[in-house]
Amino acid sequence: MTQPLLEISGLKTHFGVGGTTIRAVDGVDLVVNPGETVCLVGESGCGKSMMARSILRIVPPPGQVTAGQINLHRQSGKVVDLAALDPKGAEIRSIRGREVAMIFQEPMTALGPVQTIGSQITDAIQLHLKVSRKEARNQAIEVLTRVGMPRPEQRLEAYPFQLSGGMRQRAMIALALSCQPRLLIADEPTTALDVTTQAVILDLIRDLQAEMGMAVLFITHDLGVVAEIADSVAVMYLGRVVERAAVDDIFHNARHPYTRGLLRSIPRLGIRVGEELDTIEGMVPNPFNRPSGCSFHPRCVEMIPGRCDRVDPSRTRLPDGTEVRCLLHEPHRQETAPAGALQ
Amino acid sequence: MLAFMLRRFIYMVVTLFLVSILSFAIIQLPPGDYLSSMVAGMSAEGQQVDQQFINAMRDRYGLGDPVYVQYWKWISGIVLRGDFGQSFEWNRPVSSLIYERMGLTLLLSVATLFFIWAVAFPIGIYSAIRKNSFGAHLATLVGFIGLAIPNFLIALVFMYLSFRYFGQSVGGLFSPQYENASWSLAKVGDLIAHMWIPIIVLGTAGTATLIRIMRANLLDELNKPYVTTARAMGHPEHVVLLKYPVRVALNPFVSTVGWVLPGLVSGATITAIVLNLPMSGPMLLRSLLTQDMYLAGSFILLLSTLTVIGTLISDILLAWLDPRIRYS
Repeated sequence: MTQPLLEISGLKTHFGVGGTTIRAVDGVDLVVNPGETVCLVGESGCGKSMMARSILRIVPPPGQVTAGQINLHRQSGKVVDLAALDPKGAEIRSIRGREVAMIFQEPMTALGPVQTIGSQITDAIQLHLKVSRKEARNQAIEVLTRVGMPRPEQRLEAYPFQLSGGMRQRAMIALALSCQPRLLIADEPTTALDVTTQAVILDLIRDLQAEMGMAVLFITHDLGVVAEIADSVAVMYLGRVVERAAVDDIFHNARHPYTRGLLRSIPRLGIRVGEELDTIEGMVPNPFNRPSGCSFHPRCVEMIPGRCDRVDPSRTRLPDGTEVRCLLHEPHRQETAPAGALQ
Repeated sequence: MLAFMLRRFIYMVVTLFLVSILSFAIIQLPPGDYLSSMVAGMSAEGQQVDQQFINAMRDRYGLGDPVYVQYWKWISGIVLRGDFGQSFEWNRPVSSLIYERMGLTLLLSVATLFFIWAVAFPIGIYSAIRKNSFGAHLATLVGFIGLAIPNFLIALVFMYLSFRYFGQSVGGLFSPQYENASWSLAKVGDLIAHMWIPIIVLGTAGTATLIRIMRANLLDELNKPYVTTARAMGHPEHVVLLKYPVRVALNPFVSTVGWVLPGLVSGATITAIVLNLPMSGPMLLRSLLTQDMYLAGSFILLLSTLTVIGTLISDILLAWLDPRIRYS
């Protein structure tokens, strides 16, 4: 395997409110290889977005990256730990938009409302690529063409409120791709769009990725999207990655009870009327009041009484490369685990 | 944009026409007229008033005519000949009385408006981005004090300070030796030296209001996703702020011109009396008390014109600033 593009280890992003601390991201480990699509999945509030924002160091205050490393292999060959940079400093700014770019969830509000699409894109190009205004304009037209914006020259002069949701998201993607980043972070880019537009945007991201050879970190809670685009998958629960595996292993050989619960709760074709959909019991715990031991144990159907509520599982690497945080899979537990638990 | 401006201009003319009718009617509302209050005044002083004299006066000023004829005489004079009529009390053309005061009133108002903007803009931005800092709280405190203390009181304090510590002549816009002198560089300098007190006094409340408006607007905008986008694209922090959220937060800031300008012209009456400023406010007040109707009516018409022009300017500025207004 080649050198990874991004290596995150033990990343913690905490929000100190008054005397208490919300641990939004609490020890995440993740690797993104060049050209690869990694999907980050999990329920609302599990820390996916904050984890993505931590990479670019744009966590809103009072949030702070408090521990861990985010090693980015820069184009120059240099390795930088983004977690150690000053979030307002010049170095992180030279990475934002240039090497790591981000697409946001809300195309309605993620673009400046009183500037034209063109001015926002050319501003970014001129900031990073040091080209003339005219050249920046040409590149902006080119990137708008690339994201499938009809009549790109005219759209350059359009304001975001003049575009439909799908077109805005294309403009947003064009902005993110304007400086040819090597890593694109997409934070639920299709959630706010209707299903047809969703499919178009997904295809677009996939095509552009193949064309430009960039890596994509795709954040979503939609497992259908995951099946369609992911190379590998990381499942997050309460600020931690609980399972990380190749996409086929996730769908066919999920190890963590939480992942299996998520998969069971997908509505299937052929479900009978009146038949209930499987759900994961209970609610995501209040982040102020995190359960002891494994934070998933109160909702886990395979909970081992007396162990899961006391011992915090560590990261276990299985022979096929899957990494999982679960006592069922820790080596000294494996032989005594209940027979049904490993299927 | 041109069609927008034209449409606004037509609205403006219609509004002014309605205002002129309304202001004329309101002035006529109290019983009696200038002549009857003059006669009452003279009788009170024990003078004999000849009925023939009264009738002659009534004829001369057209006071016996029906209201709509009086209105027509007045408004047609203004529109067709620029003649605002004759002031009863001063026995001079209204236009010369008004122009005398309007120039300085406008100068002072515009200077105050720029003062308000220049102070409120940076402080407003500062107190939004450093929301809970000592400086922001200090700005809030000073702003609220400025808002809460009546202008005339601040005026008195400033008059005391300038007299006690700077040895300046107090009140008015000129030192005595320049009062009736013709315009020269020295007189302009003297004017500037006198202007700072009224500017600060008149501007304090407006500044405080605008600081709060700017702060609140910007706080709303600062957490919008597009600010995060700009930051995520690698723009330096000052560009992220000034180019994106501040641009949007400017809208209500600009739309305040509409009411700040006429507010300064008409609302400064008490301050103008205390500071003995040759502004329009005291004269309007006096003309209303004596039912000097052509003077009062013309004043009100001019103030309304200023209000409408202020609104027009702010509308045009807004449309220029915000494409969402321009295109819908």
